[in-house]
Amino acid sequence: MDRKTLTSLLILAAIFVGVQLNRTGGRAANRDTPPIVLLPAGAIHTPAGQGDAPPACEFTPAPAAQTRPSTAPPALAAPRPVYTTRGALHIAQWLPGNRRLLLARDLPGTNRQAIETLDPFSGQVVSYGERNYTNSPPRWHPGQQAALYLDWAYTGANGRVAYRLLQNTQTLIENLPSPAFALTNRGELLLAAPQNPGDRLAPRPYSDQLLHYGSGEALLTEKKAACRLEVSPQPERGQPDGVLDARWSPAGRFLALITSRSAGSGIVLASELIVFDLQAGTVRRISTLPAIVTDIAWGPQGRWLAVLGVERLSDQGYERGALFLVEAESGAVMRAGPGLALGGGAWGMQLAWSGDGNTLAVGCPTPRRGRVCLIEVGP
Amino acid sequence: MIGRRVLAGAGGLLLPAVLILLWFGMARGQGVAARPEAPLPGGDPFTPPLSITVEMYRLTASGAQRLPLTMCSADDTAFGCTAFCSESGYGCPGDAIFPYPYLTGTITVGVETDYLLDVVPREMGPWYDPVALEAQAVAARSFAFYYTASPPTLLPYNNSASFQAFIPRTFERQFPENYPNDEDFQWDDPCGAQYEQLNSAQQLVCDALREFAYLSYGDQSPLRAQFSADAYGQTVDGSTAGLEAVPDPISTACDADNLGHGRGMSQEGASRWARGNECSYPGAPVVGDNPPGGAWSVAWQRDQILAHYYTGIHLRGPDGEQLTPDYRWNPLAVDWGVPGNQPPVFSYPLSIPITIWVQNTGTTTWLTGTVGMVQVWKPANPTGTLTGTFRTAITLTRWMTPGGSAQVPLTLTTGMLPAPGVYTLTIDLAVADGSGGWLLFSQAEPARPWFPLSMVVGVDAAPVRLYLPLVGHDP
Repeated sequence: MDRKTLTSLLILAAIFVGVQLNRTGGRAANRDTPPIVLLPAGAIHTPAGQGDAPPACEFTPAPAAQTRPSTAPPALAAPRPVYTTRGALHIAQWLPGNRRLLLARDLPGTNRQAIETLDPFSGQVVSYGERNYTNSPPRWHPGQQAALYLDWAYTGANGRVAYRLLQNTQTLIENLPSPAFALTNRGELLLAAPQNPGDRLAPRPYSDQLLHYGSGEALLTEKKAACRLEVSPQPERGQPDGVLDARWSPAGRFLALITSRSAGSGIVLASELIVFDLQAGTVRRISTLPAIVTDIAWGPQGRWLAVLGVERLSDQGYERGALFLVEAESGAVMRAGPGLALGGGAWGMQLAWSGDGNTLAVGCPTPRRGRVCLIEVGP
Repeated sequence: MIGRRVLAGAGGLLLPAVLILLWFGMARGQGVAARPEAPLPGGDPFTPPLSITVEMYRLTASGAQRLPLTMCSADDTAFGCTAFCSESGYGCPGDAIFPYPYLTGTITVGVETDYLLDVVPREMGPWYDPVALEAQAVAARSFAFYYTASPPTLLPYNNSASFQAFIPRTFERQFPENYPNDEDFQWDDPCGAQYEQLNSAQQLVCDALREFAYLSYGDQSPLRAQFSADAYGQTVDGSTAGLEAVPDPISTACDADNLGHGRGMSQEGASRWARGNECSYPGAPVVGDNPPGGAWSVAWQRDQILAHYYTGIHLRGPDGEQLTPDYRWNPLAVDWGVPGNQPPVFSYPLSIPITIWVQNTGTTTWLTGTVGMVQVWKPANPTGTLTGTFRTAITLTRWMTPGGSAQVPLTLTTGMLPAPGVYTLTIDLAVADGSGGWLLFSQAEPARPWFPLSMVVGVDAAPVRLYLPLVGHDP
């Protein structure tokens, strides 16, 4: 057993500390909780420069891959504010049924957040719990009709913290060291301890493939195999670019990534949208968007990608964004019409496209209020 | 590659200077009276502040204020309030979390003992050349001073990148981290008694801040010294005093790119000038279709870097005293006129034509015929007949405003030397003193010397090569 494998096993063992669930063959199950898959740490993101780097991913065009003819982009109505709060609002996702949004809402004057659902059509809010501040997005589990989210707490000296995974107010697993979690479309909850704290998971729909992304390269894994997505051909200033966000199209054909050029100092100077077409075997860098792209959301057919980009800084110094639509196959970019200024909040949680394709929810905060806007999407 | 390109400087398109070779009598060894410092235009002189007041906000990943505007609170762990934050994808990797270390959203902190310690490493990574980090420290200090000295009608100074990204605990965050609650550290003044216990990255930051200076324009007033990550080939006109567009020929290869607003100092460009290399740090990746890059023909010190990127400025000390002379020049490049721009074979006697790309980095316009270029040869080890000083000069026949630049041809003449040997060759500019003599820029203000281009040269009857490196020595 080499040192890397041993390290991985130790990390994996750490995950299990505190797990109070019945386990069967690597899966934890309980009637009141979703099936939990604890991922081996060996499959987790390998930081650049450590150990043997996985090979670059090679995509072979499928024989049946055919380019669909371009169509007119869907029509977008002007943004309409529907919900306003004192604290910042973070949009996680639409719930099934397309009537409710899962949100994290900052509680003003504190370092706490409320996990809530919002019916933006009626204004009804349902609370599911609270946590210390983090930008880890909560996820809705349809089978459990529950919100899953991470919380953290200090455990001792030198800023050490432990995380726990909650389902509503119930703790599922605790004593987790900087975990990542994701839900598959089969309803499984994937849980891992990345070697790079803060790295995330994105399971490919209808597949066993899993994307690990974050502060270094993006790795696509399947069982014990892993390959590296070429997202950073021009690493800057001695540190690899990071992958800020990754979203699979609903059927799993496309993968959209936002990569960052952070100058190594932690201030993102530019970010870029890259769209992989795993069926056609193509990689497309979308270079006609603003220099900073903050949020992405797929339409239900996987044909269009909504993109929030920073068009300018206000005179006061905050970001003012605009909405764009990117055609996945061609990479064509269309700017949505003028309207309310969008964006300006925490990146990655400002945009969600409803499953029926009829509504985009987008953050449209003002300097003093958190705010959600809806944009009706026409045919 | 030494560029033969001619770029537009602040004074317009620059034409090659006409060479007029003439012998002239220098004011050898007579000393030069220091030029009196210009009196302040009025009002009180600027006193560098010891502290600065900053409004602290949660920030986005680009360093902008996050909406809705959320001031940092006592236990805040969002990005912008602490470098040990609880957000992935932001500039706070690692698994430790420390909250915002202050009790209020508006804070007053020590400029040298707190604010700049967090600003300098956030704005420029410590893997760049230490000399570039020194330039960054001066620019960051000047930028902060500008706002402390500005009328209150301006927006309140805050921690966002609209001003300078000030994220508490960034200094402690420098890898490997010293944890903020570590009792072994006196965080009130970490660059003082605890210096030896800091890690190397933190020591670099302290070293960069140690030699106090700030930039001024006109009088003692601090300059709004903007800076950005990189500017390909030329910086961008900032439309304000001191921020004119200047050519940056070292930034056209290797990792050179346009990144950021391009006004004022290019941070990666500063590191290239400090290293004398087209790559901003060892092993920097080649960007796009750039040529791979390599050694550049000159390398600069801190003050040269700042005088290059900021036009018509002065460096000033803690009491506002002027540290730099009025007459200054920077060699942007030396073109040796041979393939690969390698130093030529120097034999005796021989005349070797070279071209020096000269920038006026001072505060005075060079009037036609009043500034010359001088070559001074001195035996490196005077013995026997190898003694004395040997000079020739040319006169620049085109006026040049501060920030402007021009290609100046110069013929190096070993024929005037008494014998082969090892010489120190110094190339400097000189200004006519009005009485038939000339003052070398490096000596025009003895209390504020400037940098000539100096090199050790082997001259032999049999061809030998110049000894490298060609660097501007300390004056």
